[in-house]
Amino acid sequence: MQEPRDYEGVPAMPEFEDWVSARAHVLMRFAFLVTGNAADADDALQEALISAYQRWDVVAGAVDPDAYVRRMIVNAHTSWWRRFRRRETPVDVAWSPALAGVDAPAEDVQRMWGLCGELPPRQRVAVVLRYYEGMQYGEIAEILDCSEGTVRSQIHRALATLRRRLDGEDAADA
Amino acid sequence: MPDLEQLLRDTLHEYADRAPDTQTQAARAMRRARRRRRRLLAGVTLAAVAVLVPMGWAISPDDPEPVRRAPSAGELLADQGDWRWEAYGGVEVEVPASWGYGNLTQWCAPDGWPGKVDRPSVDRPGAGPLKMCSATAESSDGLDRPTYVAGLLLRPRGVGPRLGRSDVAADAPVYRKSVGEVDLTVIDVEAAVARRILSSATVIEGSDVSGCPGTTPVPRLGAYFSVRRTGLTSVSEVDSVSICRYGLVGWDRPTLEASERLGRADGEEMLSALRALADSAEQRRPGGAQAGGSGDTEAVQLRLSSGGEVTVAWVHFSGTGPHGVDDGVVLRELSTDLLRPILDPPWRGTVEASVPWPGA
Repeated sequence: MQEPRDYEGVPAMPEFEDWVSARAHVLMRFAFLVTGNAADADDALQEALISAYQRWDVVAGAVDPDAYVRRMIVNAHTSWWRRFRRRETPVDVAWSPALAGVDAPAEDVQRMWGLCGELPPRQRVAVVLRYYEGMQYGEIAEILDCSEGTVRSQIHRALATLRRRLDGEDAADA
Repeated sequence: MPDLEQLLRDTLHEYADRAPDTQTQAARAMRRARRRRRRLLAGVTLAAVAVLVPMGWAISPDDPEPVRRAPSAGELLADQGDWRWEAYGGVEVEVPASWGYGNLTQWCAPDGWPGKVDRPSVDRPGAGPLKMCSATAESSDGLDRPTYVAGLLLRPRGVGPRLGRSDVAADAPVYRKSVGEVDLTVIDVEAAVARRILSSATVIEGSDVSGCPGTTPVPRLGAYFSVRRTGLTSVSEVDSVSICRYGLVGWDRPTLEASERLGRADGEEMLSALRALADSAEQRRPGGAQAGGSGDTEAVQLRLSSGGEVTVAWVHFSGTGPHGVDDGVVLRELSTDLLRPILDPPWRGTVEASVPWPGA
């Protein structure tokens, strides 16, 4: 067997499998928060990774692979939502017994999670990128392929919706 | 109630910990990507083989060992016959016309198939024929043969080809040059030929020799509106058709990654293939088709020239966005006939049949 050859200092690029091993858990968390459930998160991440694998030479060397895959996750999710979900009737999303074995979160956290699930997909993505990933508006705009102003507007509307619904529930409880 | 934004942060972090396991993500993604390409290319394969075998591109186990000698530079260049132009990354470069297209040299055939294509080719990232097996292929004589890379590898500047020990023969010469935004690597080719290839590489100013702009805005599927408002239905015959493939990832702007110009006869076949496409009922105009397509990683512009006028259609075939053909008036569904020259030029007419992929 021949030894690997050095091609004039061409920078080493991560192998796809190595990169996924290192980053998959981070991206799966993002996908889970964006989609709201494990099955859709797995599907969205798989679609994104397939796309990345098919162009790995370019994705790994010329762009931030994380950003590329996040964008693909968002596209996969919003595409499915556009096709299938908008016909569905929203239901209350509460703590799932399927998550047995993990301590249930506090009641207000459960309630907020349920309300997040009712946000339109792009508002939800913007909120996750802002409040979970801690991204700047410009970074979010790149992933969502829109202007920074649109991102601000999406987040503003999402927060207004969440506040209104939380206040409404509190008033009803009282 | 605690601060809304803080509650939001707490909620997202709390639930992020409940995301599912990721242990098999890479293997599954790779497996599914290969399966998808196999399905896509099953129809392509028969036509490709039908073209390659008569042209003598394939080798059989009975082929005699080639007699090696050291030809002169003049002989080498003369042996190459005609040359053709290839485009990638806004750069065009000349290669011997006899070289293969796509990454055909990386094909390694299962037992009973013609065998690896023993010819240099032009290799670029993006959708294309799949490398069908690992470093070696078992041929019908039971011998393992390595599938070494030979030819021109085109990559975005700084990316470089990812080559391992099984990809390149031990004594293969490697020549490199960077032009514009592209790194060009010529592998296992005689020096005179490599020199001519690399010295021909130039940045595309305006359009390349196939009539494709080096860069152009790429509309999303359903967002392209033809100025002529007649689309493909107005084209009765064509003088030529330019196939312009643009990459949307890894470049600052949509950048030409491959091109080909079809003459009248092949162009007419392309036009027939386009007309045979079914209207996409789900995305029919008017009323605004889905403004999707942001998931595209590549897109193809077809430029149909007729009597000095150019009619444009966009083919969206990659990524997670909606797929289809958009001529500015009608949205049509994709077909194998149309995808084949896009994934693997050159255009050779319609695919007559598809075959199951061995082992699929």
